[in-house]
Amino acid sequence: MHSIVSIKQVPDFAQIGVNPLTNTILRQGRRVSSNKTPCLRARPRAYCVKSSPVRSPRSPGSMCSAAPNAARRCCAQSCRALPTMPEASQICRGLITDALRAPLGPVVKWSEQEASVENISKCGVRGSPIIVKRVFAPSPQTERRRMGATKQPTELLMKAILKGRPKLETGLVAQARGL
Amino acid sequence: MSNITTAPTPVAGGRAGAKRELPEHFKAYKHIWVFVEQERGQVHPVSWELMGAGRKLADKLKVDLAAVVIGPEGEAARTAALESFCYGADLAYLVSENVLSEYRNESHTKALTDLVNTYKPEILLLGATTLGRDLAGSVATTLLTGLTADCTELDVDADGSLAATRPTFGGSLLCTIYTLNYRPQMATVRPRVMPMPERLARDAARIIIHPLRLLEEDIVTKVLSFMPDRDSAKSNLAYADAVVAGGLGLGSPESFQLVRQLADVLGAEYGCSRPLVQKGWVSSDRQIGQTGKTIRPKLYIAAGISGAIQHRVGVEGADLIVAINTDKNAPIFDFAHIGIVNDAMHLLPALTAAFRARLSPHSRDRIAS
Ligand SMILES: Cc1cc2nc3c(=O)[nH]c(=O)nc-3n(C[C@H](O)[C@H](O)[C@H](O)COP(=O)(O)OP(=O)(O)OC[C@H]3O[C@@H](n4cnc5c(N)ncnc54)[C@H](O)[C@@H]3O)c2cc1C
Repeated sequence: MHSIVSIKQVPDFAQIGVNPLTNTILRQGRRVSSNKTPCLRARPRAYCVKSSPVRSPRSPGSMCSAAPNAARRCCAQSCRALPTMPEASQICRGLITDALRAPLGPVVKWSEQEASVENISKCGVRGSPIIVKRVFAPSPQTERRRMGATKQPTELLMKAILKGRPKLETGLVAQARGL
Repeated sequence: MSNITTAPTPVAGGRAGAKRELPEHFKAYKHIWVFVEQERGQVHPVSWELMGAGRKLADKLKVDLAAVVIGPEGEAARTAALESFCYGADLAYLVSENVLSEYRNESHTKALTDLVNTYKPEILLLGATTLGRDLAGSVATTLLTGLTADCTELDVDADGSLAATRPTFGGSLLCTIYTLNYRPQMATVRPRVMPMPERLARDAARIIIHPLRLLEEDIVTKVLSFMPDRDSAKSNLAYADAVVAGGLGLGSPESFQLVRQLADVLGAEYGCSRPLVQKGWVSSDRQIGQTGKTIRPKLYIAAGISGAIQHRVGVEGADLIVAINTDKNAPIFDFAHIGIVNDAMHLLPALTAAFRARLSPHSRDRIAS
């Protein structure tokens, strides 16, 4: 029995590059942000794999949907994907001995043929049925009030919360009594 | 210099500007489907939230909205189909067979892909739950179509294409994604991202029962036993009416008690930002945000939370966001409705006492107002 762990490469936060043609995040040739992926730090060269054995996931981003997708492609029925939410598992740091051994470890790099890629144009972003049309930053909300540092903020805040919201207050009373 | 006759094709061929050229065999694909997720007779509320979103798309496109119910023989699946009409479905597809009594990727994928291939919907929506994600990924792969996961907004474009918006790059940016030339256009949405539509009592409309030719012997995975997660009922964050949350600004696990005390008085659920889970101060089912829960309470109080985009996307559906932060430039003030620049260590206990007095059955204030 073998296990395959699929690793998603995330560029460093300080440097987001967006490809203007595809509107997708540039991931190539960048070191994986080391503080985000400490368990990978030991094997930086593992990221150089060019063509993956599984055709590029059809959904961008969410690894959780990509996993069953990959399982379906590479192992048909005998394999069950275990998509893991980022928070569901603990990040494990390798032993220092592993870290020292890692740079010497072999990294297998597949060619197109070895990876049984029949049509390279179907791989990666180009082969994906989806298209990123637009990338944009979220906009700030409009209605808001800010209170400066006041001497008596409590009453003020409570009143602001309850003001003109009789339903909220009734609801809160009901909930608070329910306890 | 000689003229350049052949311009090199850009690496990805300028895909963002691509036009819709739907192949002939996809032109028959019409109508919008929502997968009604149910396990052990319980419909996941995200299905009705999606029904609300699907209704809007269907009205815009002037097509039907259909519910898809996949489950064992018996009342539960039928009840789910009937219930879907009360949330806006025009018709329901029902695959109700005993091989489908427990969720298994293989059997559910077969049922859903069969339905799609037979009745040809143009849009298929699923909840981004553990089950929905598992199913959506393999259905999209089997049908060789696209899937946009964890969408925060769904709309239809002028040419009728589904425009699915989702956070990208750890949530710092949003992107709008199209599945131009493949059908169906698939998307998943996390629970509580879309508002819950009002339930209107309605008579049953059309239910189409679809037989599935699948034998138990043909399925390699077997469900041996079912172990309910004792912890799963612990937090009701996603569906709470009031939520009080704390962040790193609280400084220690002890100070987090201040958040819990205020939540207690309000009858609210308590939550936190991600670093508190990573530090082990609070359990992970309490995390709010992109990689935690999405909430839609009437009241959300955030104390000592800076308001990073990954947190923001989880709370934007709240009716009233109150932020307490010592830093007047904290990003949370960009989207809070009421912001207060103050020390949470002092304000939280004071607010707890004030609300305790106000909300008590004998409060004179309330009787007066
Ligand atoms: C892929 C990815 C996913 C993520 N998912 C999530 C997620 O789901 N949820 C989430 O929350 N985060 C998530 N994050 C992390 C997010 O980017 C932020 O790092 C995190 O939300 C910050 O938490 P915080 O606001 O508690 O801490 P900080 O950013 O450190 O903010 C602390 C705030 O407290 C204020 N403060 C200090 N002392 C006081 C005081 N005495 N009284 C009042 N205020 C005080 C400070 O001014 C500051 O604004 C994710 C990050 C990534 C990369």
